[in-house]
Amino acid sequence: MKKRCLAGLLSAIMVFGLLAGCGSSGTEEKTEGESTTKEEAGDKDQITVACTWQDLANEYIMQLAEVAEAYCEEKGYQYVSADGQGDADNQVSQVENFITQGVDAIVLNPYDKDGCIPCAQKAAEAGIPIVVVCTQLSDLSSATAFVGSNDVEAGEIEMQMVADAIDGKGDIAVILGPTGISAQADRSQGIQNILDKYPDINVIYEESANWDRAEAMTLMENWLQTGKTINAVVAQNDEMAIGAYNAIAAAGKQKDIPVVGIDAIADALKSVEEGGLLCTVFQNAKAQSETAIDVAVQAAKGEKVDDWYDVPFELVTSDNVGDYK
Amino acid sequence: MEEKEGKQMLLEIRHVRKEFPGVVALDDVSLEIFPGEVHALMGENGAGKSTLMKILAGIYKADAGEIIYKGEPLTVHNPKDSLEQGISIIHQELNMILDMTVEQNLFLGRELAGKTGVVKTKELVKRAQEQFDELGIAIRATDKIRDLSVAQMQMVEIVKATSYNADVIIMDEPTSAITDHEVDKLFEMIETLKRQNKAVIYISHKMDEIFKIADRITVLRDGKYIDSKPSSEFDHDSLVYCMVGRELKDMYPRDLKEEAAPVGQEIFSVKDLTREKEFHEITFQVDKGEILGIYGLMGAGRTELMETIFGLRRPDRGTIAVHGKEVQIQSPKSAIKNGIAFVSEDRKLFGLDLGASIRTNITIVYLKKILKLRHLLDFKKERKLVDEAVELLRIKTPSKEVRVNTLSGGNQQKVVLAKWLLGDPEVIIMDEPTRGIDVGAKAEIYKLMDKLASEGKAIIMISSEMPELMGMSDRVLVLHEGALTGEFKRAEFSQEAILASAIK
Amino acid sequence: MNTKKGQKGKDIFGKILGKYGIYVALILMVAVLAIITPSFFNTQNFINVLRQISIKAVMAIGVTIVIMTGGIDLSVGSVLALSAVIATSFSTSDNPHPLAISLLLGILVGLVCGAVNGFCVAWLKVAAFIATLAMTTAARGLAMIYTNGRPVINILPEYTNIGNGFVGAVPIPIIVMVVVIVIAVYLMEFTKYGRYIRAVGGNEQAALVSGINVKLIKFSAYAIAGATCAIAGILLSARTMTGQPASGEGYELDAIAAAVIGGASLSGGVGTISGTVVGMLILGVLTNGLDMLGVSSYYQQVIKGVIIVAAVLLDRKKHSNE
Repeated sequence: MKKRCLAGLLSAIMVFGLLAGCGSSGTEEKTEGESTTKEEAGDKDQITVACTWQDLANEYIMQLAEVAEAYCEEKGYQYVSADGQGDADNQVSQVENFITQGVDAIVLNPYDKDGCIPCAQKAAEAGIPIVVVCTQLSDLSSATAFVGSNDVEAGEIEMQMVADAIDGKGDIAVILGPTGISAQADRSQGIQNILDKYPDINVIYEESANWDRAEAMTLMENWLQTGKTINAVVAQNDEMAIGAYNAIAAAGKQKDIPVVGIDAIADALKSVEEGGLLCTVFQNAKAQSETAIDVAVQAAKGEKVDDWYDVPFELVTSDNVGDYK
Repeated sequence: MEEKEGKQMLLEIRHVRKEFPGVVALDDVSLEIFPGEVHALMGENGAGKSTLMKILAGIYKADAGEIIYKGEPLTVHNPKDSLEQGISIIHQELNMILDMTVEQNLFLGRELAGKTGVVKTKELVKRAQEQFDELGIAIRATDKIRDLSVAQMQMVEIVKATSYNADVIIMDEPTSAITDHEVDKLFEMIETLKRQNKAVIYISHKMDEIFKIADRITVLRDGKYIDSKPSSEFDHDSLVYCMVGRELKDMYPRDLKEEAAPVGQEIFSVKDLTREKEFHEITFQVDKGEILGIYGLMGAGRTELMETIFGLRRPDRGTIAVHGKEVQIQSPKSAIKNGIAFVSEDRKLFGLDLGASIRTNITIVYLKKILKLRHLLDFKKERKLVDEAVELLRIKTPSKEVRVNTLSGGNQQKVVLAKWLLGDPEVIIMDEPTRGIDVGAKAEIYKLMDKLASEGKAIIMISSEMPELMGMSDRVLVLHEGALTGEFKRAEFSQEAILASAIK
Repeated sequence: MNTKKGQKGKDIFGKILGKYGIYVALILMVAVLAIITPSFFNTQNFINVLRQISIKAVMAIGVTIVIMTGGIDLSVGSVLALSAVIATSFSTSDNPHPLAISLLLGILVGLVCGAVNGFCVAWLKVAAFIATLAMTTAARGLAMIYTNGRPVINILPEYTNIGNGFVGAVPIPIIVMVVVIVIAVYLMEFTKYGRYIRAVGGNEQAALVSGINVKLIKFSAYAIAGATCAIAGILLSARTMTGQPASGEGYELDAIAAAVIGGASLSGGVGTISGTVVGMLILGVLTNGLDMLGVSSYYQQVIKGVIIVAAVLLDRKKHSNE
């Protein structure tokens, strides 16, 4: 608590002090109080659900966390949250803390599919149900259940869209996420699954831009500079897709090179709507998070739950983009 | 060699030659060292002493010639080699780990350990203490090096050197950082080493020491062997002549002036200046054209006092006045504004930016002299001023753009002086102005000091070297444990009296 | 006669290599890439490279000044992000303000962060590494708090134009970079300030004894670095059309690498703005050329590492030649 107060104070001094009188940015009021960790589970009747998120600096994960908090409030559960800050070790310690606090159920959104396995093991040893959400663990045997969407499917969806757009033949570029992360590996697998069906589609460039818009932009500019014909660009997330699209648009080739992404972030939806990106793939944060909480609570109450809950990906094109805004 | 009859030569250097690109550092140099003798190696900076020692230490390899050690050719590839063969060097800069104990430093790299790898500290402490006791040195093996005086550190280095069973111990300027009083202790120790039949090669610029301690003197000049004689056959002048290759008359130009001390016209004064724990109630004045010498042992508070006057430390009480008017000195910047210059005793730490060029070092203090529009550098003017300064001080350098760390100590000190003189200061504080520089450069600096005084500057000179102090000062103040304990006019100068008030 | 001439030529070549080592390296690199990559050597691609390096180059200039005082600034990436999200947040379609307000606010935030760094280092005597490490996490945290972890989007076109627009045929980021370079070179090479920065970095004690206000000089260097981060943040957010609180991560390493390749010494006193810019160009040309050749970014990272060490060794050779 103290730390948060301090952080709040710091931000108050540095940010708000600076901005005083310069108008409101619209987001600042929300910052305080939100996602505040509630005190330990004092009320015996109330169910406490503790969540550890892989990295709240990631927009999608942030969405998951917000949904979880709102949903817990709606259902009357006590919500405890911790930010793994992109480090599996942090998450292991956080789960240990949850166990010490005696929470009723844990929701784990693992950063690393191997490094976070101890989280599940420790929770299992302590007899607390632990539900893995969104990202995978390589060994789910200790976990109570997995709730999420299959990234392989996301890769398949976007690649299929591109294959159709270029009539099953041509040269394409693939922009990867950081290699070694399960989302990247699975999405690559999905892309490959479709490519296997289209022998006339050649991947002429394949490189990582680390989920980063600026990096993807630089990469795309350099590829365009070679003068080789690129018929489409498949990016493994929307940030990179938008970066690539901006580079293509700057070269005036946006009509010739369709670009696709995954995640359906706000910028991407806007772009799809305006005829920029060809499509994006929607991962249902609301459904994932709510299902995870439900399953965790059911397990805590001793009810029987399944091992696997699939929340399907959804294709977003200019036809249905309105539904996702 | 007749007086050495019956004694076997310990180390012989025969016709050694060493070349560096563009310079011949050693040209046909020979040297004979016998056990039980203190052999002084003399020469100006750049004469080749260090190169010769580095060859003995295995840091350099000779291009020609040979070295015979204990009757056999000596081959060393690195300092460890030579150490193991019994040749130890005590460098000018002490190489010790300050936060380790005396014992730990003594046995660094050859600790005695049990089977489990645990160091047998007790045993080592005992052994170390025995060595100190044997030599009659009051140092505890369990003391931290940091808590020792510089002289004590030197003792530890020497003990360390002998503890390798060294037969030849080379001391490079061992007294550069210690005061006369402490030098005596060092000499006692050297005498002990002599009795143990060790050979000591002693490198120093200080004439009086050499005559006190050395049995033989070998002189090098410009990389060439000049002469080697028992020290009794040299006197001060002939030795200087040998080293410099010309006679250095008027080493202390001020000596020549009859009652040179000018009277009246105070430029600078301090009153009741105090920093608790360092110095108390210091009051003195310096007149126009006067050189005021300040003497005191290490820890007497001399340097602290000067740093306070220059704004590097803040006084607890007391006042400083320039031209009779009280001034507030909060920082070196305000000291400089009030016309005070400070030639620090440690030119590497406080005087120079060693990695920067001569040009930028000279102009950094009074940069405003070369500014146009208050901020812009006028390179043309800078070059002109620097050229003048280099010429005035006779700084020997191929170019004004070379980095100062490529210069000899004497030339570095001249750069420090040049940078201060550029601003024409009225009061010049010089803390050990000739430390570690050779005779030729010393004489030039003395001449310059005399010239500055005759131009009406007030000079405050701190010096640990008695001849320099008495030769250059118009008046001497003595500090002891932070208090002024003596004041001597030129007519009253005597080494005994000055030393007496410094020791009390 | 002939051999003498050859010898002389060799000497001159050695000297040039010693003195202008990194420039020679850059030219060689460009030459090699021009031969093996057909579309490399043309104006459009040079504009590409310059625009790509502009953001990090601006930041690296600030870092170089700090490094020249003997300090280090690890916080540049985070300060960039904080400045970027604050600047962009005042130029969105939901919260429109005149462009000048956005930009001034962004730069002010960078300046304040840099000033806090400088205050900690100069007056509180916190080691630069520690002080700026603290700022790294603090500024990143503030950026997250301010945006609630979400990127700022729907940015007004006049703002994004800074990153993507042109003046004539020249992209605006390149113009900004050139202006910053010119100011910095002027400051560091031709004014009193530059001399003082070098003196402080070369020997802090000697600088103090020489009457230089060492604390003020150090403070100012960090403040300048903060401002350059803010400019870089504005360029980045304008170019990517989004203010991302997570942006700029790892940029400090590129900035330090460029400075080191350009001959700056981390112990202070040594370094030039032009060297850093060339260092950044080397990194930029490398990325550009290898991307075009389809070399994976993981190999590129390894090559970068080799170049950094090679540059330092080359630099040492240059000094031993003197």
